[in-house]
Amino acid sequence: MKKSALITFGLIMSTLILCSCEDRCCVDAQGNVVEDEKCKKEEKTRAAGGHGGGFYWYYGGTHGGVGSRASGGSFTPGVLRGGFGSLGAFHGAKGG
Amino acid sequence: MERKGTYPRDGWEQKIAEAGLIFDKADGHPYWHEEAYYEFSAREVDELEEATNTLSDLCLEAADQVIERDRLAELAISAPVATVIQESWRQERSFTLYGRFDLAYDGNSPPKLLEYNADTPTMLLEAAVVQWFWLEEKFRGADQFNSIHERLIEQWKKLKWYLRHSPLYFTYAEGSLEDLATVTYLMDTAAKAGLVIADLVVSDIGWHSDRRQFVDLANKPIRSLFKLYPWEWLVAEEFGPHLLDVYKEMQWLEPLWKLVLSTKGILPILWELNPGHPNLLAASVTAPPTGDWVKKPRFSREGANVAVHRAGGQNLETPGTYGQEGFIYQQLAPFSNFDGYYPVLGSWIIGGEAAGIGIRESTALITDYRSRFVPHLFT
Repeated sequence: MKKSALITFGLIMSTLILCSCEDRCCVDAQGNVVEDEKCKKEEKTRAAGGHGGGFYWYYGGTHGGVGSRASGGSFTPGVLRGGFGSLGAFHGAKGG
Repeated sequence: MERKGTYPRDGWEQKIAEAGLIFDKADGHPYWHEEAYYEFSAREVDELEEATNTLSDLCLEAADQVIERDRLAELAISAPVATVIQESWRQERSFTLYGRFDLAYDGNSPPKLLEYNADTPTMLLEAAVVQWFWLEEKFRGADQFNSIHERLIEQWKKLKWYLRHSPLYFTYAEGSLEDLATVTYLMDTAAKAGLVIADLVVSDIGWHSDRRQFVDLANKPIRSLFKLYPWEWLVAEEFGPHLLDVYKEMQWLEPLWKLVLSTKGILPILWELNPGHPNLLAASVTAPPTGDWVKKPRFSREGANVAVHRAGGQNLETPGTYGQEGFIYQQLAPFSNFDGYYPVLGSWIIGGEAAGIGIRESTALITDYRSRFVPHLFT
């Protein structure tokens, strides 16, 4: 029983932290996550002068997958940092 | 070529610090050593200059061979990176500042190439400035194979016409005093050439996901970037795919094609293309040469993960965190011992021409971060 409980807890946790909008994810007007394709399609529609269908890029934050609500991020584009430098920190020397 | 003893200057520690050498100790070992110096004849300097220019030509021919004949996989370079290297080679072949050939030399045999630091060479400030001040104070009237400072400024002036955007950002990894001093010096030479400059720690470079641009700490776009941070790390890190996407929208120094020459994997190709060349050592990917040999990681720094094998025993190996991309074998250079020390000559190529040397010496056959810099002169 104890083992099952742990597995269930693990499953819940893995669902909760399943995804992050580290780069960006697509949401509808209510902030619910939808497939990225909807935002990409909308970008093309807008670029061609058409009206959007209510889908937006959401930057940063976390969500539990398509259909869940994204939170902790922003509708304005984010800037990510720290994507360079990890190997320098690991190896310790840089120039040669 | 001789190694001679001498008295250090009064207050030499303060003098080298004032010249910018703020990284004089490695694990408690003094890095700058002026109780000795190396003296060359004018003929020997001519030989070093000629060898450096020859090696530069051979390397460019080897790069052309590797890039244009789709041999980049042999250097453990992935297909996405290889595609961008090919564009870089075709479009910005002359967009380069500098490089440093490490040579074994004793004044009797021709200089032999140990490796080419084509991407992120350091040991620059001490070669360009600190040893020159030493010469002027100690041996006024003698000469030194060293026009590094002037050549850097000259080359920046040429590159200024290629750079489409200002400022030129200089980036480096936090935590290394040597890298900080090197970048600060390079920024100074660029500013003297009239470039508008800015500095940025490599981990502070931002990726603007909507604009699909690299940005500085004020979120301003970075369009021109000098990096003292190796290409093989940049393309392998989290922002590597973004870098490859936007590479051609920016200008990078050194350009990406320099990755081909900075890997030790180029050494077997140089030997294959120029077998028996007097300035090269036999090298192979598959099997050690006959006699004494050295095993080196394709990518490594400061002599890490290098193994020396001698037929009569006396094997040697250094620790480190490198070697994942594989190793190459190289014939052991015919090192001569000068008063118990093995010198390695770092010969600078700036704007495609030999510009001077700096010497590091070690009591062991492998030059590592504890090796010390010794000045030189010629008569």
